[in-house]
Amino acid sequence: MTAAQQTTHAEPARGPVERWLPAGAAIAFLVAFPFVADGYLLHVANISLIFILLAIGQNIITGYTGMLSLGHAAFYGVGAYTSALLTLRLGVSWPVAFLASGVVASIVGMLIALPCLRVRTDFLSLITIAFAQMFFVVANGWMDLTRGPMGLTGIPRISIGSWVAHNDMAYYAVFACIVVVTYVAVQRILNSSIGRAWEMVRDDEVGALSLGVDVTYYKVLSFGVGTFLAGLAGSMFAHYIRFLSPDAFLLLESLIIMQMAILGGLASLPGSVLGAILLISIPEALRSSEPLLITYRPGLAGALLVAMMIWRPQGILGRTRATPPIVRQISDTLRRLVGARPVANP
Amino acid sequence: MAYVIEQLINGLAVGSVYALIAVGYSMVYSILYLINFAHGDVITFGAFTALTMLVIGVPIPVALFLACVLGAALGMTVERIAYRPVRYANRIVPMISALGAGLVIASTAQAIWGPEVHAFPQVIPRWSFELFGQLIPFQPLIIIAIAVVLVAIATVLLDYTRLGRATKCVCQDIHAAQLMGIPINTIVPLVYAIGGFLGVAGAILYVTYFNAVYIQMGLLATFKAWSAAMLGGVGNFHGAFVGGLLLGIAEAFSVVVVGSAFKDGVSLVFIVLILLLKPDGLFGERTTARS
Repeated sequence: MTAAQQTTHAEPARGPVERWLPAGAAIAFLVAFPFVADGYLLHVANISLIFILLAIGQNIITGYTGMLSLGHAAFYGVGAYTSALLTLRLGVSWPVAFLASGVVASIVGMLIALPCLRVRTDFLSLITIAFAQMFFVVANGWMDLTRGPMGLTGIPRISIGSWVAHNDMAYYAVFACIVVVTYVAVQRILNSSIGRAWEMVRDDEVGALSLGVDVTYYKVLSFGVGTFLAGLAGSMFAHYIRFLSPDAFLLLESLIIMQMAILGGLASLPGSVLGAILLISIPEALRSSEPLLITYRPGLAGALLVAMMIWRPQGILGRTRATPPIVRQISDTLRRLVGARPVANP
Repeated sequence: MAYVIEQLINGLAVGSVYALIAVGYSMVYSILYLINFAHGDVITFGAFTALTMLVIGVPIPVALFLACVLGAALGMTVERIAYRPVRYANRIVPMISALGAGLVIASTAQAIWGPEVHAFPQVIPRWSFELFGQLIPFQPLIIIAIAVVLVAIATVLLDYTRLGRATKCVCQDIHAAQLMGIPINTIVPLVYAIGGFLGVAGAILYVTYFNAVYIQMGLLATFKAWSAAMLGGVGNFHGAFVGGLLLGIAEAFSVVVVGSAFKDGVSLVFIVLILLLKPDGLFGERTTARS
C-alpha cells in the first residue's frame, strides 16, 4: 500500500473495542433474535434479511460508485425467476440454483448497463427503468415459461443436501448466514483496491481516468456485483414465499430498495442494513393502524428523499469522521475499567 | 397510400408533442447534468389541472393557458425547493432529489384526482376534411401547428433576446457565467419555467389526442421525451424537435410492422441504439466528460 492510499483512507484511530463491539453486538442480536421473537416477527426478520442483501447491492452501485440504478427490483426478479425455474423445471438443487440466479442476474445486468456505462453513466437510470418495464412485459407475457400473471406456484423449499428448511426458523438460520457472509465479503471488496477505485470513480471520474483507472471496467464491475446480490436475494425470496408473480418486481419496489440505501446512508454498509430493517418493519407496524400512510407512502418517501438530499445526503449512518457517540461511551467505560487510556477522537 | 398519409400525420402530431415535453428535460440536462425526474409528474399535474378547470367551466383558451402557467410555476417551485440547495453536490444527489420531488407531486395528484384513468374533453374538435380526394383529419394538424408555434416562440426567446444569450452562456459553463455577472439564480428557474410551460402544453395536447389522462402518464412521457431529446442530441433545442418528429413517425409505422403492443418499446430501442452508435445524438455536438 502506498503512502497516498494510506492517507486517503486514514481511519480515525480505533482500538479493538471500537472495532469489534458493533460486530459482536450485531452477531449476538442475530443469534438471540429467534429465541425472543414470535412467528410473525420472524417472518418480518426473514423479509428484512432479503432486503438487506438488496440494499447492499444498491448501495454498491449507487453509494460507492455513484451510479443511479432504478431497476434493482427487476434484477431481483431475474434472480427469483431463474432460481424458481431451475428448481421447478430442471430439478436443480437449491444451492446451485441460488448461485446461478446471482450469476444470471449479474450477466443480464452487465449486458444492459454496458452500452450506457461506456458513454453516459447518467442515463443508467433511464436504461434500468426501461429494463424493469421490459422485464415486467416478458414475465407477464411469456405464458409458457412464467405462467404470466397467474404466477409460478409450488416452488420447492430451500434444501441443502437432504436437509430441508421446513419452518421460518430454519429459513432465518440460512438467511442470516448468507447475509453475514455477504456482508463480510462486500466489506472486504470495499476495503480492497476495487473499493477504492469505485469511490474514486464516484468522486472524480476524470481524475480517476487520468490516473489510469479503467473507469468503464470498474463501473461495470460495480454494477455486476450489485446485481449479483440482487439475484441472490431473488432466489431467497422465491424459495421462501414459494410463489412468484411479475408484479412483485415493479418500479415501486426498486424505489423502496433505493430508499433503503439512501435512508441508512449511501456508502455505508451498516446503513444499508439499518435502512432495510426500518423500511420493512415500519410499514409492517403501520399497515393495519394507519392505512392512509401506506397509500401515500410514495409521496412521504419522496419528501423524505428530498429532505435527506438537502440536509443529510450521507444518511442516518453515513460516513462521518467520528465513532458514533454511543459506541465511544461504551468503549471508554470499558477502557477505564481495565485502566487503559482513552483513544483521542481526531 | 391514404393509410400512409394518415399514419404520417398522426406520427408527426404525436412526435411534435414529444418534442414539446422533451424541451424541459433537454435544457435542464444541458445546464445542470440533471435528469429532471419530476418533469413527467409536473406536466401530468398540469394536465389534470387543465381537466379540472375545463370541468368547472373555465373557457378553453384561458384554462389551457393557466394550466401551462401553473406548470411553469411548479417547475420553478421544484427547482427552488429540491434542486437549488443541492445544485453543486455530486451529480447523483440532485437526481435523487428530483426523484423524490416527482414522487411527492405524483402522490399529491393521486390524492386529489385518484388513481383511475380520466377522459379528457375534446378541446380540439375531431373534424376531418377532404384534400385531393384524401380524408385528412383536422385534430393532428392543429396539434402540429400549436407545437410549431410554441417552439418558434421559444426559439425566438432563446436565439434573439439577451435572456436567451444568457441562457446559452449558462449552458456552456455555469461557473464562468456566474463569474461574468449572469444572474444564474434567475436564468436557471427560467429554464425550468420554459420547460414546465412547454411540457404542460405538450401534455395537454397529448391527453387530448389520446383522450385519457392518468397519474402514471408521466413515466411513459419521460421515456418518449428522453428518446426524442437523445435522438436530436441532448441540450440541442431544435434537435429535440426533429428527434420528436422522427420518434413519432417511427412509432406510428411500428404499429404497422410489429403491432401496437410494442409501440411503447420503440422509444426504448431508440435510446439503446443511440447510446451504442451515436451517443451525442443525430444533431448533437461532440462533448467531453465534465466532472
